[in-house]
Amino acid sequence: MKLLPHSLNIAAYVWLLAWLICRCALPLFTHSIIQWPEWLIVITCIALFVASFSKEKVEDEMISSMRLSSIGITAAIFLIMFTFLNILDLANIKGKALEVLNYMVLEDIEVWIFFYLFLFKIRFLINSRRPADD
Amino acid sequence: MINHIKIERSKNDLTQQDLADRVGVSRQTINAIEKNKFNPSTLLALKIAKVFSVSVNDIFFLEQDD
Repeated sequence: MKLLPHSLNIAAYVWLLAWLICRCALPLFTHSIIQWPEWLIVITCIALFVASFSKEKVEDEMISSMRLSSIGITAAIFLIMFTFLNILDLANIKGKALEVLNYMVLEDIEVWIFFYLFLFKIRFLINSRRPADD
Repeated sequence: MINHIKIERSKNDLTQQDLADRVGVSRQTINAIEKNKFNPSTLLALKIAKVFSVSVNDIFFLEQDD
């Protein structure tokens, strides 16, 4: 099995850092106002970025398998939310919370990259906490 | 699948970290394998068996419902 290397996580962090910088700097150049759902997304993503950043560079098959399954879980949650929102849209149900969810699911793939990194970090920490059975 | 890695480690006086270092994985991986939370690849299973100087069949066993 080809390993999903640690460089995948590094690439994701670089992309997200660049996205955060661009999003926060955008109003300076366009004189536009960032709407509140977008602010909420940006703040959440900054928090997730700080929480999920990791210097760990463990490269073995279990970590690689964990990366792959984290991608799968993220994709599954995305599809469930996408389907859910489409059903609500068909039923003509509206609301602020739905507005934010719609924005997150349909507009920003970066939110899902953050989610994957955060999920992976949580699973890695849970795994690391298992005591040595010596 | 069940395994006797812990037994073999005791026989050879190896900690999980020692075994992990010898086969080139993290201690967490050895821990997960011992607790049946993760199934090793064929290569890793062979490396583990080589450390203990036994065959793979002496360490890893299929359960009845496998």
